[in-house]
Amino acid sequence: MSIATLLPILLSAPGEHAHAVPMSTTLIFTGVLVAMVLSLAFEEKIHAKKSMITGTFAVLSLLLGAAFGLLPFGPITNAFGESLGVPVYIPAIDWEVIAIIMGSSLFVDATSKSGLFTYIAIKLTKASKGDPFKLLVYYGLMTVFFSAVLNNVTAMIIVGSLTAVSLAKLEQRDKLLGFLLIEGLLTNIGGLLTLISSVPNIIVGGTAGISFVEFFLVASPYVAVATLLTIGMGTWRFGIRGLESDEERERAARLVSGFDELDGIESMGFFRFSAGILAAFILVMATTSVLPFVSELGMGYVAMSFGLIALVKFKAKIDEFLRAIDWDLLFFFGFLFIVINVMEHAKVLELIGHGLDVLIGLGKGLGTSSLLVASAVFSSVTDNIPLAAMLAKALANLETPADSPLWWSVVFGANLGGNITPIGSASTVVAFTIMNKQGLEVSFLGFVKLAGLFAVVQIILAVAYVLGYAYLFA
Amino acid sequence: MPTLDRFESLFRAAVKEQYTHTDVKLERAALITDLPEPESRRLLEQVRGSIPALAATEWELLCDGTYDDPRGLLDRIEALRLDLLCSYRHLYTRAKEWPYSLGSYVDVLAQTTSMPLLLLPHPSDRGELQERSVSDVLVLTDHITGSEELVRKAACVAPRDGKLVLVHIEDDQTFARYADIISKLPEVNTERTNDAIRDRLLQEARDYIDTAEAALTEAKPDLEVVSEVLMGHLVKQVRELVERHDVDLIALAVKDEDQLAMHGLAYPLAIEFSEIPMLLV
Repeated sequence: MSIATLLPILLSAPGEHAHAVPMSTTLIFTGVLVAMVLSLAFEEKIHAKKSMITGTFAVLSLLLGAAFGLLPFGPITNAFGESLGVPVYIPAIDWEVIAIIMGSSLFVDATSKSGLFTYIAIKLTKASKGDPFKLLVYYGLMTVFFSAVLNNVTAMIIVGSLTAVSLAKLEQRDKLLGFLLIEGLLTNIGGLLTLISSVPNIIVGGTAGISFVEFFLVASPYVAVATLLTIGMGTWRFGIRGLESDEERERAARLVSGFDELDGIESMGFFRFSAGILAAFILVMATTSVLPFVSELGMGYVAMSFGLIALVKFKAKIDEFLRAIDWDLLFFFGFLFIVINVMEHAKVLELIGHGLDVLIGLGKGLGTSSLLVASAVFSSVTDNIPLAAMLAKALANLETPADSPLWWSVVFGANLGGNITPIGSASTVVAFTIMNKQGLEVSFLGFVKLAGLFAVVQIILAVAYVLGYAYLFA
Repeated sequence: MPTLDRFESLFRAAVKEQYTHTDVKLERAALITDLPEPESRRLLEQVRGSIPALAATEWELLCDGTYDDPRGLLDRIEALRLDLLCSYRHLYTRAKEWPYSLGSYVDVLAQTTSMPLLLLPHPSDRGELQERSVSDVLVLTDHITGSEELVRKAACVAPRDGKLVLVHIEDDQTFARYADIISKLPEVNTERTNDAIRDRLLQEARDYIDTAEAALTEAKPDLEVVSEVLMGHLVKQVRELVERHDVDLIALAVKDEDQLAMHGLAYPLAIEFSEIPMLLV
């Protein structure tokens, strides 16, 4: 069973649960949704975690939904005709997404303790011989790779922390801001590479029924070009050049030679095991849709299975890993899916669909471009996950075919919008945090001024790319 | 989820301090005494004979001075542009029967001059020391990774085919104080944190000494380099090491960055081991 078919409630076509809802009721629920989106946008101001915000609105939405008679109470019938009595909010949650995120987190957390990622990072640092230009190129490519195979937050944490340490060691701290900004921007480029690289990809790709391989084949050319362009612009904007004299090169090489890539490896056996299991994880994820039985169980099953396999070494203290799971993120998703499900029953998504209809009605070129740009702008000021979830459901309700460029507009817009502001994506929040932790004192507007040009170029490139896809393949 | 702090710690830990060896040249030295000239010359010959590395050094003999305070002596030393000072305990003082200090002149020489001080035991009135040929040199620190210059200078003084014992001692009393505080923090796992801190402190010293051993073996193939990384009571451990390695000279870092006092480790040891020559860097 694919992701798309695993979302029976969320992805149901409008006709399946057709019920009349007065426009006044829809508008009330629209107000609730807008309030939630605004609360998420001002998360820092109201000093509340994401899960608390969406949780509050989930509780409110369910209560209002019950009061207005909008919720489909009653048993659910499964494929065997068995009737299951589950609370109305349980099937509202996209458990596949939750399983992918939880399994991937456990997998990354366990394998990162092998020293594998620090080994790769330090090896690349030493390969650069301390030359700032080579270092930026290597770190940039590493950011994209880690964002693609792990997730963009972990990628930023690994590469950002290494950058701060290595530039201090090389006495090149004046270049730290440029490095961190480029890396932050590249996390969202790398986050476009595979279906599991970012949450919007998982949601939109899963809703559209795009396979892992198909996603990679479509996204990778853009990722390659945007990565090189971003690094090139970065070297120009921040004046990051190679070392000129032999003396400088010799000194830098001596300084980076002090890095010991083996320091973080406690067991070579576990190190090799982690390298092998990482390769297997990527391979199985890529082929989930064609593997017998596994295709039925889905990517969430694969992620959870690999998470548990990676934890075998830590079987006696698995509780520590379970405590380290980002429960705020998982509860945020759970509550968000409940809110969106209620909004669907209240016909709010249908209303958004009408808005999308207007955009799409602008024509193949202008409609696709407008959706991408609008997604990017909204993603830059609020969380891209609810946006991706709402737009994906709205497109599904419009019966948008899987090969439509509109899905890609949402994917590119939701990911690249994160590059406009420091709160646009979780990984740019991490980059912004590292900048300020390192005493660079970058303000919100300062970040926008620095990143704005990069984001505009990346979005223009994405518009051209999606339009090219629309005309050539769709 | 992996955290920022965890990866910052991992990468900081991966940056290893490395010893790089450069030969130190001790071309000009001065022996400062409060003895008459003939006794001073006898003492100088004994110093040159007991430390082969200083045989080719050009020596000045400063034994004719009468100083109201150490300032006058310092002015004279600065004018000479020296690479090494050599003197003995209780210079210009009559306190040798009170072995609990080095004497005010030596204190000032050790702390305020930029060159190392070779501090000898107090000689007899005839300007003679106990016969001792320096072969085994012990480099003593509580922070070996920040002691590159000390190692270089000690390696310079050690004979070509001698032994250099690189010692890093973590004071267990200081550690116990911090461990006591850690044990009172409910959010920290006491046993695991203590073990981790102890292991890291000793591992960093071992790693640095490994790089020093490699560099010194390359530069001085016949010099035997021995590593001793310990945790314990400072004076007791040093006494045991001195006996075990039959040490002829102890090298210590004494220059305090703020010039407020002699480095905390150095003074009690300089007092305690009064019969062993010391190189105070």
